[in-house]
Amino acid sequence: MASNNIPASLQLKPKKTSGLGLNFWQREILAFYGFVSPWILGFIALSVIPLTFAVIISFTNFNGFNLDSLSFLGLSNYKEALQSPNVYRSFALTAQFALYSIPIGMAVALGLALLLNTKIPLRGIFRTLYYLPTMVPGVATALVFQTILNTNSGFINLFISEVVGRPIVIDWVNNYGIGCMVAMGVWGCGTTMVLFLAGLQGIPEELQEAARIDGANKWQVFRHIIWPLLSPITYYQLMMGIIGSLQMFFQAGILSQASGGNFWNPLQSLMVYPSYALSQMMSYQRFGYGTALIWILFVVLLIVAGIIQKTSKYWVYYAVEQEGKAKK
Amino acid sequence: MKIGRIALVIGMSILGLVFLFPFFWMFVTALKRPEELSVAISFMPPVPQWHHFYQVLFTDEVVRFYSGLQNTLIICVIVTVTVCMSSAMVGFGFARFRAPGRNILFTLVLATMMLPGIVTMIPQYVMLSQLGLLSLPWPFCYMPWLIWSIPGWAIFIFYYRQYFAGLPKELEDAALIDGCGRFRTFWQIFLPLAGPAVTTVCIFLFQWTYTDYVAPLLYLTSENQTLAVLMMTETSYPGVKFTQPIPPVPYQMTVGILFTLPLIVFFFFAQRYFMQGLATTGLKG
Repeated sequence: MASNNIPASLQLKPKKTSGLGLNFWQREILAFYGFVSPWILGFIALSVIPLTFAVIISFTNFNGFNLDSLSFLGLSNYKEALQSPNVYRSFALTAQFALYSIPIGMAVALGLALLLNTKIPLRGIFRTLYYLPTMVPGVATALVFQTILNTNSGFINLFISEVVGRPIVIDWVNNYGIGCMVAMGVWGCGTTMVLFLAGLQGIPEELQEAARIDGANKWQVFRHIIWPLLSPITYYQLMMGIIGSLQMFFQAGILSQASGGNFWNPLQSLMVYPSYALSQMMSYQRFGYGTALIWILFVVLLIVAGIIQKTSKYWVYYAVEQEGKAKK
Repeated sequence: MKIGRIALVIGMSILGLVFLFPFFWMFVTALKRPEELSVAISFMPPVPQWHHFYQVLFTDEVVRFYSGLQNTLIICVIVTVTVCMSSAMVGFGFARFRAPGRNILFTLVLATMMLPGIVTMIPQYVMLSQLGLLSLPWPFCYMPWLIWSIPGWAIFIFYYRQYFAGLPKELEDAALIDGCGRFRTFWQIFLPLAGPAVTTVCIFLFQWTYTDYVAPLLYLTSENQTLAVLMMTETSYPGVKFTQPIPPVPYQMTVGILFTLPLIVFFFFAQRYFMQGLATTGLKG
């Protein structure tokens, strides 16, 4: 085989196979599963098992302590949920929150992004200014909004009193809880703004230039060039906004706690659907019922997301070059 | 035209002041005496109570500030380092190897990204408590965070996968031909090249963990609690005993400012990464 004229050190030896005697592809597969194994284990332990567990306990009277003496109730948790007026009330609050916070938040973010995309002085400073609130921890945001909205000592009531000339005592959090949370959300719209801004900066200047030369006014440029080209981002934001606001409970709990209430069992005006489900579990130990409520929420989320996704083909515009980018 | 632009700048400045107002109000409230809270508007209290900051920073009578901060930072370090590394590893696996089942697994990663957190939150809590991982003594109380972190987080796995998939194939071939093992290829060649991605991921992880409230509230006992929770639940009004409990709002605000300030400073140094990170992660999602 190998010629004896070649010194031994230069002779090609067959490459040592790894200890297991695997070929290249087998080792590649082994490497892949080796690299991905932390995620697979985590997926089983932190998603598959808890979700299975959640499905099972949603049919039981689990209260956090009675795992040995669980009794299966069939569909009665779900039936109770669909018949409870509290559930409908909390769901109406959630729907209200979504219907206010998503359009207002997105409109403010888009407006700010459009302003920041013009050639005005101090642009960088304004961008930082509008983005800064997103850096404030949620707890601190709730505290500061509580001090602004407080009935007796809040800035808004004191300010109105000063203007009107007589003391005004409006209990904002208890009467307009949803409005307060929307305000908190709008204050932190910087993330959405940055996303819109990035999208705006990706729109080629020539397109707008060409439209202007053809006599389009500012609104027409926005309506027929900027809006369609921005629509994938709008779509993404809308989807995220809906998923976020349907499962929103942190803001309600923390604002309630800042106003002297309980985190897991918020004030009535802030009792959105997820908060209601959590309060059933954490304050009333009704884990079976609460889990059933969460599964109902999950189904609603899937339906809403599905509807948005189906309608997207009518208004979301994917430019050719963006598809090219996506394929890369 | 010029007047329009000036008006625009003025309008945006006013809007900027509106956005800044809560920061200002936080500061003013922190300097008030509790009895001054509900007296008419005062933009600066007559006698600013600067000693509130002193009391929070140098005494333990308001809140266990350093204990809370220490716990917050330990959790931040655990989560940031672990999630950053494991997500990079898993992302690298998805980007660089061909194996049967890869596409199905990656679809599952994307699916968990869409799974609402609230669905798994309480079942996980119940399960971890059944396993006896709740209210453990000090160094072990961080176990839940380690358990969440080791698998990597879907959004960052996705982000790393996109990043690694964009690097040239020749790098890997060259390393393999030189006899470099696959893990070493990842660790010594690809990870150093992913510097910007690592920075972005770390920054977001740090911010999210630093501000997290729900997980510490669920999993930690009072003595190992993080600052965010201590600020809400254990801030007290020190000194004089009142007949009625006085809400320690000025003190809570003081803690809130001291808690937020590091993030704001951090943001000014890392602003570029925040903006880029949002643009890339957000648009690709």
